[in-house]
Amino acid sequence: MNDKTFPTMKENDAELLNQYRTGNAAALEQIVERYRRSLFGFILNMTGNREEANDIFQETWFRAIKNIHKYRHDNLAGWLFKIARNCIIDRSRSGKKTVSLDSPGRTGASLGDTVPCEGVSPSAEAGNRETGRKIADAVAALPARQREVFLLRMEGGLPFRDIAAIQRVSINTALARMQYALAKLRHELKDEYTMAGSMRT
Amino acid sequence: MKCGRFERWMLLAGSGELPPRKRARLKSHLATCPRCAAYREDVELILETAGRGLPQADPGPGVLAAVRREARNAASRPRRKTLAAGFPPAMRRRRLVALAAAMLICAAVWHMTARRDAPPDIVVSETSRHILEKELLPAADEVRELTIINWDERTLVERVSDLMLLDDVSPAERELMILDGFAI
Repeated sequence: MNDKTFPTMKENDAELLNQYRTGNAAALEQIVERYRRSLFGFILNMTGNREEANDIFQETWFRAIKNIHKYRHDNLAGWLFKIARNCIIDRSRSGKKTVSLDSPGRTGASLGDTVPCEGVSPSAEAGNRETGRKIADAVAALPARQREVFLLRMEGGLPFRDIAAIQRVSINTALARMQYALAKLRHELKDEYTMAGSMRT
Repeated sequence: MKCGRFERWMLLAGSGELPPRKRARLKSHLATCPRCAAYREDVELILETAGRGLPQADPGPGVLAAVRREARNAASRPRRKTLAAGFPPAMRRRRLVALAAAMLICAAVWHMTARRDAPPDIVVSETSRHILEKELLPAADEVRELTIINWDERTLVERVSDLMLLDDVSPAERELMILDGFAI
């Protein structure tokens, strides 16, 4: 999600919300479509379990729809990701098991292997799959709060001001968590990003 | 200034949250600090790599269908409207403060007015007590608007002027009542 698109998206969100509030259900479907990938990506990478991510994604939208008439801010993305985060926390508190991307699924393949990768040729897919697995592992190994900041920024495209508000910390704390996360990823993914750098040059 | 702060500024620049003046300072710092320049390059590569490498997937079609169905159902469901619902939170807060202030003012005005309009507390003499008990109160229809509080020691009478309209109060009795403060 590009940061430059944020003001426009906010305006569009507000317009679509107004339409939905006046009874146009299709307007909300557009909002769901807009945040489908980023929201699900955040949930999936936080939980590491597709089935659980599906449940949480649905619960997030159900809660949002239930409370959408009370929502009066101009930051829908921040609101949705906050609900998703709360759903994840609620679920972890309820004691439901979370499995990692490497847990074998019904077919015997891990989730990391079965997650589709769009726009990649089959020959490149094998290499990317390995890189993807390493990145997913490295991100999953981050402490929860750092992982949350990293994913809210990467998947949600949220500014640090919003991330700080979601975590109820100062913006400096959110930035520090991102710095720690990047330092760990920098160490863990050195080979991957060095290769990406050499390909870029 | 330590480089750690510039590392944070790099993150803020990436999210579009760094003010222009700080952005210019960051730019000039990066031109002179090879360590920070290398750090920025690494961070950009990490974010780029992670952005491409993180598992991307769509929610299941059944989940999306359920969300869309819920959205349609909720849109067609009648909902309760609250007085404050039509206002943004900041305005609602302002309205609440204004309402609280108005209620406070009303309470103060009522208190002052009530004190002024209230008939004076009066000591009931034996004569007045007799008139009220034996003569006025039995004529319930005519004195129904008369309120007597704390009958034994002090009496507060409302609508005292009504007493003046009662036909069965003789001029002498009215005089007594005026003396006792009932009919002023």
